[in-house]
Amino acid sequence: MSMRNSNNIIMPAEDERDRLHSLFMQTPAAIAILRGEDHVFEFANPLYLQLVGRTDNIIGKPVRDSFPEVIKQGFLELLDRVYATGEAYIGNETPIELGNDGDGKLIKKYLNFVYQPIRNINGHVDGIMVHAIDVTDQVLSRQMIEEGREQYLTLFNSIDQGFSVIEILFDKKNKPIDYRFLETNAVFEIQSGLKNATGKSIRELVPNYEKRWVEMYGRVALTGESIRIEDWSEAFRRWYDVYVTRVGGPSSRKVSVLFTDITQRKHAEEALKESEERFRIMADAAPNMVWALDSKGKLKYANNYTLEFLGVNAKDFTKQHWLSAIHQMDLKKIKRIASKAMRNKESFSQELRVTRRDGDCRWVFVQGTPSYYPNGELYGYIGSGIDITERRRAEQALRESQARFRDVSDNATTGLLIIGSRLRCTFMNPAAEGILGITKEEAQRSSKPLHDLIHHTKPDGSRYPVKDCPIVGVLSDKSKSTGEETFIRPDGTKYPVAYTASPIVTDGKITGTVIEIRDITDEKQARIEQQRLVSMTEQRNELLKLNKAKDEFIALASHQLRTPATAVKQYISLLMEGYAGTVPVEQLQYLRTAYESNEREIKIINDLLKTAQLDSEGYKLHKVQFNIVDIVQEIIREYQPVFDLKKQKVVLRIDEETVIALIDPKEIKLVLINLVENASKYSHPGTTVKISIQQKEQCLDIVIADKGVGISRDGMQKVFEKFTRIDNELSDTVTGTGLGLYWVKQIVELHGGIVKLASTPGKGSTFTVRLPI
Amino acid sequence: MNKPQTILIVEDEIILQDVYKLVLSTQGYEIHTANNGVEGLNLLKKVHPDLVLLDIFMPVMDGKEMLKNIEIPDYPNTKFIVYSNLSDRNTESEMLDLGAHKFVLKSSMTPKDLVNLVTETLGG
Repeated sequence: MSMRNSNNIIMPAEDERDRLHSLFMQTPAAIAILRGEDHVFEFANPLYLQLVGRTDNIIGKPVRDSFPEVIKQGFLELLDRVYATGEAYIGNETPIELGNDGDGKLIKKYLNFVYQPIRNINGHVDGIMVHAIDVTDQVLSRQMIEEGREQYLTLFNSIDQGFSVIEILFDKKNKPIDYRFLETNAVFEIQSGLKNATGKSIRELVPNYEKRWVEMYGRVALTGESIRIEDWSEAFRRWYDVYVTRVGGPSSRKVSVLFTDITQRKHAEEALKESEERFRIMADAAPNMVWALDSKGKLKYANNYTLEFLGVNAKDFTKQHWLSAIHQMDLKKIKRIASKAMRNKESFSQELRVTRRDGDCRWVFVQGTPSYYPNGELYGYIGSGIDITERRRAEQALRESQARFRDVSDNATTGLLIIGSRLRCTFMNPAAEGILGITKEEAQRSSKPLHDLIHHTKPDGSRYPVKDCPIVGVLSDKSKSTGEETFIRPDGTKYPVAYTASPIVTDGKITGTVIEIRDITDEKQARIEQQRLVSMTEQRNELLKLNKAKDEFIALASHQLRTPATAVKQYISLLMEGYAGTVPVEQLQYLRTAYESNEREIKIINDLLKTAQLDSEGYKLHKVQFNIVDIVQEIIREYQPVFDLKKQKVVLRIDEETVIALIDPKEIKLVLINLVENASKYSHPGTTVKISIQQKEQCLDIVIADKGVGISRDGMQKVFEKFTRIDNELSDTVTGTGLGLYWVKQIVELHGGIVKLASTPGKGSTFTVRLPI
Repeated sequence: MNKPQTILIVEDEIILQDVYKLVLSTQGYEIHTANNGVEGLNLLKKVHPDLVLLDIFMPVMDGKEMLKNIEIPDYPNTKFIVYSNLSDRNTESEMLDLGAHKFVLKSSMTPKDLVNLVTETLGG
C-alpha cells in the first residue's frame, strides 16, 4: 500500500504537529522524519524503529551515522536527490540490508517506501519524510512461489514422460464427455503429437479419441481415486502407461495425467512373450531337462521332460516340493553354487543326484546360464539338465575295470604289455618290466619300436627285422598270435619267452596289441627234463614190454620145448621097459644112448628156462622159516654116492642142529647143490670138502671149502657170469652149462645176502654164502 | 571084488595121452581121457575119478581154469595131480592153492616113474 500525501499540507503550528505526531505513532506504517541536508532523524515511530532494528537513540543523528551499513546501498544518494530536487521517490519492493543494533548481522528486507520532501513555509525543502512498509514476507513468499513454479515448470518440461493437466467437461447428467488441456509439457507434445494443445479440448484435437479415456479421467476427477493403467490408444495407435490423479479438492474437475509411450516396450514384451513361447515349444520338445529361474532365482519354468522326470505337473513345479527329490548334499551344493553365480551374473554347472519318479536315483548334469533383456537387465537363468547316469555308470565301470586291470596287471606274474600302432610301448606291468629287464619309462622314452629294444636279434645272431616279427604282425593280421620267441635283455643275454598277442580293436580299427609274455627258461628246462623222462619212461615201458614178452616166451617155450623132448623120453622108456616087447641088447644100447642124449637136452632146456626165470622181473622167492642144517644134511646124503665115486670126503661142521632162517628152501638147496657139486667137480679125487654153518649176529654163513684147482684172480671176476666156464685142468672133464654160479649169485642176492669167494689157484676155493637173519 | 580105481587124464597131446593110458591101464586102472578143460570138467562130473592128471597148457580151457571151476569139496575122494611141463614156481603154488595135491614136471618122469607116482598117490 503506498501512501500518497498531497504536496500541500497546511499545519497549524503545534496542534498540527501533535496531531501528526500521534497519527504517525499509530499509523501501521514505519514513518521517520529527517531534517536537513544530513538527513538527521527528527522523528521515528516505533514501527520504523522496529523495522530498521534501531532504538530511539538514532533521534538527532544523521542517517549516515545511524545506518552505516546502508551507505553502500545507494539510499543516501536517493535521499540527497529527493532533498535536492524536491521530487519524491517511491521504492517498490526494494531490497535493503539492515543490521540489527550491535548485532553485526545483516538482514535482507524488502520495503515499499516513499521519500517525501517536506517544504517549509517558504516552499524550500528542509526535510524528508520516510514512509516504509515491510513487504519482505510477501516478496519472499512470492519469490518462493515463483521459484517453485519455476522448478515445477522445469520439471514439467524436463520429465521424459508426457504430463498434462486437464479439466474434465461434464454434460448435464454429470457424465464426462470431453476435457480441455490446461497445461502440457514438451514431452506431451512430442509423445502425443499434439502441439499447442493448451486451451483446446481433446474432441477438437483428436475427434476419434476413445470414449473410455474420457470416462476414466472423469472417474478420477469425480472420485479422487488415482488410476494407473497400461492401455492401447487406438486414436494414437500407441501403448501408454498412464497415471491419473486429481488436482485440487473434491470439487475440482482437474486431473493431471502422467503418461509414457510404452509402445516399444510393449512390442518388446510381445516379442519377449513370443520368444518365450517359441522357447517353450522348443524346450518341451527337447529330449532333456530345460528349466528357467526368474531374476530373483525363483523357479518359474520347467519343460515337459523335467516335469515327467520328477513326476510333477507344471503348477506344482513352482511350489518346489519336488526339491526333496534332489539328494540332500547335492541340493545344498547346487543352491550355494547357483547363488554365487547369480550374484556374479555367471553361468554355473553341477552334477547332482535326483530321484526319478520311478524311484531310480539318477545322476543329472545341470547347467544354468544368465539371460538378459535387450537393455542389459537380468531376465533370469535358463538351464538344462542331462541324465548322465549311464555315462557315470560307464565311467565308474571303466574306472573299476581299470582299477581291476591295474590290480591284476600289477600283481600278475605274467608280463603284460601293450604296443600302439606306432609299435611303441604304451603300457607295461611290473612283471613285464622284470622279464624284459627294462622299465616302462625306458621303453616309452625311446623312439624305437619296442621290438628293436627287446626282440631285435634272432637266436642265430642275425638281425630280426620288425616286419618279420609275428607279434608285431598281429597289428596287421587282426588275429591272435601265440608262440615262443627269443628275447634279448639290455645286457645282451637271450632268453626264451612264450607269448600271446591279441589285437585291440577300437571302432573297427586296430589301435594296438596287448601282449602276454612268460619267461619260459625254466619251463623249457623242465620241458627238456620231461622229454627225457618221457623217453626214459617209454624206454622203460619198452623194456617192461620186452620183459613181459620174454616171460611169456619163457612160459610158452617151457611147454613148447619140453613137449617133444618129453614124448621122446616116454617112448624110448616104453621101449626100454619092454612095453613093445623084449629089446635085444644091441638095440637097448642104442636106446640108452638116445635116452641119455634126450635127458641132456631136457636138462639144457631146464637150465636155460631157470636162468630166464631168475632174470625176469616178476621172479619171486617163496620164503619160509627153514632149518638150513636140514638142507645141508639132505644134500650131503644125496651126493654121498658122487663123493664116494671120487673117493672124496665131506665134512660138516655145525654149532647147532637147528639153524633157522627165512629162506626159499628150494632155491637155497639149488645154491648149495651147485656149490657142493662144483667143490666135488673141481677137486681131485681123495680130497675133502669142508662144509660149515656159522651163525653170526646179523647173518649166517654157509661155507663150502674145497682143496681143488682153485680160480685165478681174473677168473674170480668172471666166474659168476652167465655161461662162463673157466678154463682149468679139470674143465674139459666137467659137464655143465656154466650157469650154476650165476644162479648161486642171483639167488643169494635175491635173499638179500652175498656170495664171497676166496681162492688160490692150485690150492682150492672157499665159497661163503652169507644170508641175513 | 574091488571096483578098479579110475583115473582121468586131462592132456591135449595125444601121443603123451597114449603113453599114460598104456602104462596105467596095464596096471589095472580105468582110464578116461579129456583133451581140454571143458571136456575134463564134464568127465569129472560124470566119472568122479579117484585121480586126475591135469595138464596146464591146453586149448579151449587150460588146466588152471579147469581147476578154478572145480569145487574141490564136491570131490573128496579125488586126488588132483598137476602133470605139466610148466616149471614156473608161481603157477605151481597157484595150482596147489587151488586144490592140487602135487605138481609134477612131466619131462622129469619116465612111464615107470608115473606108475610109481600113481600107485603112491592112490595108496596102491
